[in-house]
Amino acid sequence: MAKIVTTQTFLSRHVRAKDQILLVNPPVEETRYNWRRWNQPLDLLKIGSWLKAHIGCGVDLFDLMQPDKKGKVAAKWLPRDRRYYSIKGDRYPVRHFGLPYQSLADRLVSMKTERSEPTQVWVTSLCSYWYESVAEVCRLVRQTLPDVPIILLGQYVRLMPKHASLACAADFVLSQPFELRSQQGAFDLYGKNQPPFWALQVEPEIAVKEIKSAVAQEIVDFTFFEEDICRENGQPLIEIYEKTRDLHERVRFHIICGLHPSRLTPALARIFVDKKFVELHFEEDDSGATLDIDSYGRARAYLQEAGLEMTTKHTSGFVWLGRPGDQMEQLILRSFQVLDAFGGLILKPFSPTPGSEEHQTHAEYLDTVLHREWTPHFFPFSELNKISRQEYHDLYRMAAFLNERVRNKAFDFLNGTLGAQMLRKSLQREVWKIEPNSLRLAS
Amino acid sequence: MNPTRSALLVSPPVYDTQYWAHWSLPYGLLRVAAWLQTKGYMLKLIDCMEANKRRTVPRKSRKVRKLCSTDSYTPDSWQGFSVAEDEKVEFCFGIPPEILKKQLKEIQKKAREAQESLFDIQVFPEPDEVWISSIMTYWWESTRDVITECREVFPNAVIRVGGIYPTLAPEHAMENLGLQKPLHLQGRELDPLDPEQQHRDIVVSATIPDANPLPLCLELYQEDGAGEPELEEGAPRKGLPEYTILTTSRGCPFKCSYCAANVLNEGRKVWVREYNSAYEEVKRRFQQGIKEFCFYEDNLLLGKNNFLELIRLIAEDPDLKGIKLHAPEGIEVRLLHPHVVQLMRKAGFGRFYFPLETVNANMQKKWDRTHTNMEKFFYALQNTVDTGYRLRCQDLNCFILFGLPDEDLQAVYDTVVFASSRVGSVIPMLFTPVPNTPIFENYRSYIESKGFDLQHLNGKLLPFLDYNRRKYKDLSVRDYTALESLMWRLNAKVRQESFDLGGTGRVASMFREIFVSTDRPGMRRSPLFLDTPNAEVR
Repeated sequence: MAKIVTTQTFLSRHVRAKDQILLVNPPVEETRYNWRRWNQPLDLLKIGSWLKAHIGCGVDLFDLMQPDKKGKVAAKWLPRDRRYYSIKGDRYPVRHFGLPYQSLADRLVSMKTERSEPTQVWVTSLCSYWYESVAEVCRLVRQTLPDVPIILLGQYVRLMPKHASLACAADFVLSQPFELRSQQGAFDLYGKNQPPFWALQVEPEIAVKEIKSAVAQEIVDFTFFEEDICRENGQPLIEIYEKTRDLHERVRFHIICGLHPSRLTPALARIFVDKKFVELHFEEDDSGATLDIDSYGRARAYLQEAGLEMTTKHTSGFVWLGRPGDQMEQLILRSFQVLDAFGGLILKPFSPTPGSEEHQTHAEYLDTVLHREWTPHFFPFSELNKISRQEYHDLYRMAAFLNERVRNKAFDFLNGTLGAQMLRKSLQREVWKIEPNSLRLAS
Repeated sequence: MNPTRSALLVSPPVYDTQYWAHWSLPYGLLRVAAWLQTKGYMLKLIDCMEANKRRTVPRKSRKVRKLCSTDSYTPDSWQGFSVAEDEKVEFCFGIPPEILKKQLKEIQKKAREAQESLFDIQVFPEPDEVWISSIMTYWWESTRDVITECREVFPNAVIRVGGIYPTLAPEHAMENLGLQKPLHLQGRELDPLDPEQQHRDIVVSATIPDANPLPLCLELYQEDGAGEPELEEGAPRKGLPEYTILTTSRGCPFKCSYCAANVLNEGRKVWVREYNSAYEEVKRRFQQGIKEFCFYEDNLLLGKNNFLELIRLIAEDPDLKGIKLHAPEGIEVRLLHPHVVQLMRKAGFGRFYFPLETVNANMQKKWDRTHTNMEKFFYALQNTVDTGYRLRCQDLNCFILFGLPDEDLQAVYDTVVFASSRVGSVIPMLFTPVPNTPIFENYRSYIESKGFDLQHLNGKLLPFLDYNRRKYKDLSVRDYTALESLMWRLNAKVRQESFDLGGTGRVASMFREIFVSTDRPGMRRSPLFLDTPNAEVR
């Protein structure tokens, strides 16, 4: 069983300048992972940078989730005996996202053969319900390099250190993170095979340096891994934008998380109009049991005042799906409202964060759910909400219909056309109920 | 026999706002090629629409067309250009005429070099004849441009133009294609060995009966057959195509007011290609590596017995395992009996395309669709589902016709909702009036009053928009754009299924309830909807 220690403690006691550390970002086994191209192990890159700078040890990286130049991450069905996962009669096909385990095994064997094996292997982790692939990576490292200590870090082990120490064949579990915001990411660990984008944090001093370094290597796509990119009224983000906008005409920012309608300011809206911001995805903001309509209306007004045409870039809003207490009517209404506000809609399935308020409130219920089944795609609160998985899939279908872009636009409720009335009339008349013996519709 | 005569066959590019190159093989021209081979001709093919492995063809912006209008223009620069709401960009799909001209010159150069060579080199000579296929009536301009280029490079060659356009609008073709004192002949009157015909340009209407039973001459696509065009990145490969087209019957005994099948086939008789010959073609091509076969018929199943014999042979032939059969054109739904569907599935048909057109009985009657009705549609639908074809995943698809003069737009919406809910996949078909059809004649005065030539009648250009304003005063381009977009959106799938607007589940029910209620004053549930003209009818 792995020993649970803080990162600080581990670094002070167990890492020396002579160490050669291999950092590993494991693959993911999941039924869907649409945003996999954005899986970048920023924690590993930052700690790698810190290790080199402060300890002076050797650091290497093996990122099994690295996308190719076009942003594509390998995906393959699991072997036949593990291909489907069943939950109460619903079958979910499962795929392996990222490079195969064998590629890691080959790398380790090759290091061993070349006598350049690491003295420590650090494996990061992201979502707790993906722990099985983390465990598999640990098992594989242990099998190939039995004498090399394995250190686990990342979100899963931070949230569930005991679970990790039991489930994974590691030596140390780093239960508490180390403050690394002021550290640049060690993107040099990718060598010549750079990923197609760099993940940043909204720390102007660091982010600007990173963007300059990336641009020098012809990397022009950036995203921010933040919970609130509009913090301090958006000033840090504006600073990053202003100091980098002239670096390269093709610099592109992808705002995929941490953008809340309630936090948008007119000044931020004005920079978002720049074509350098190629996609803007707004988080969901609530006001009690309903959507915080005022914030959405205000955010849209700011964007419109700034001159943003929703069709010119990928703009959308998230709607949570599968939270405890979901009401079907609210989900549909919210979908309409978000689509209406931002011209795009993305349903975001929910999973309780271990230890969070949702977890604690529904601890008894969640105790009956296997941890692997906490994946949002399995809708762990389905039974609690009395909304079947099939109904959640129907909601996805509805969203796909609403969101399908034709001539660059999602469904606009047939806004201002004759169809707005006619479609409603067809629905009210229930025309799908025409049967062979009632061939004529009432005029 | 005339062993020395040579013919260059050209399938022209397409000028249109959209084009789907999935089944773009010029099957009529390739059948004529087979026929000319029997007459001893030396042949060469330039297929301007030859698709690459992704089944796409290159496209180049050509001009901007104003919808429901004769106006068009070319912008100073295409860079950053965007069209207005009542305009569409017309593209040249495939090899444009200026590139074609280069290829023609290359053929000419090689022919002349060979002629001057001391060695006996087998090279395609400067052609005696150029055969050009011309399909849609509203694409006629590319035929004209191809003729111009051919004439310039090969001034001594005579031109033959055949296909749907010269069949439906021969006078138009005689006057507008730039032909020199052309003859107008029916396909059955063509005689390549007739000295008079050999020296005249010819507009050919209808089919050449002797060519109908012949297999397509796909060999012209092989390196030593076509030779052109030059291979560029993403350009077509030099070998047999990945699919071929089969026509086992022609003609239709019915007379829908918008359909030209009767004119194309010189009456209502149905001609059938003998199944054994088609089967031999399938076997031979399959052995050569072609796995996909697409039936192009005026009305599949009208030659039912012959067709069934053919697919029975295919289904029972173990050597044809893995064959994929397609029938994306018309199919006679009333003849989709259980045993027919079962055999079609066994043979390799993966999808069905139902010509639903409309659920409105009055519209059906108005269009003289007397042979079909909803009962027959349901019969076909039930039989396909019973056989194992799945709803909502594009196994089964419905064509929906719209953009017609005097159409009932509410009936179109009814049809969309019905088809989407009951079948799950809808294919929008914007109506194009076809010369020589009853509907064309009925609305000729409107067409003439607008000054429309055939290219303006392309359904995608909404030729009856102004006409339909007589019924719907404020009808605009947006109304049609919204309607067509709705149809595409309804096909969006998750876990291989599209959303069921008429579903009985809670999601569909609440969707309908909320969507419908947002239109009622005082019932709006979201303040967000208040500051936009959402769901307002002008």
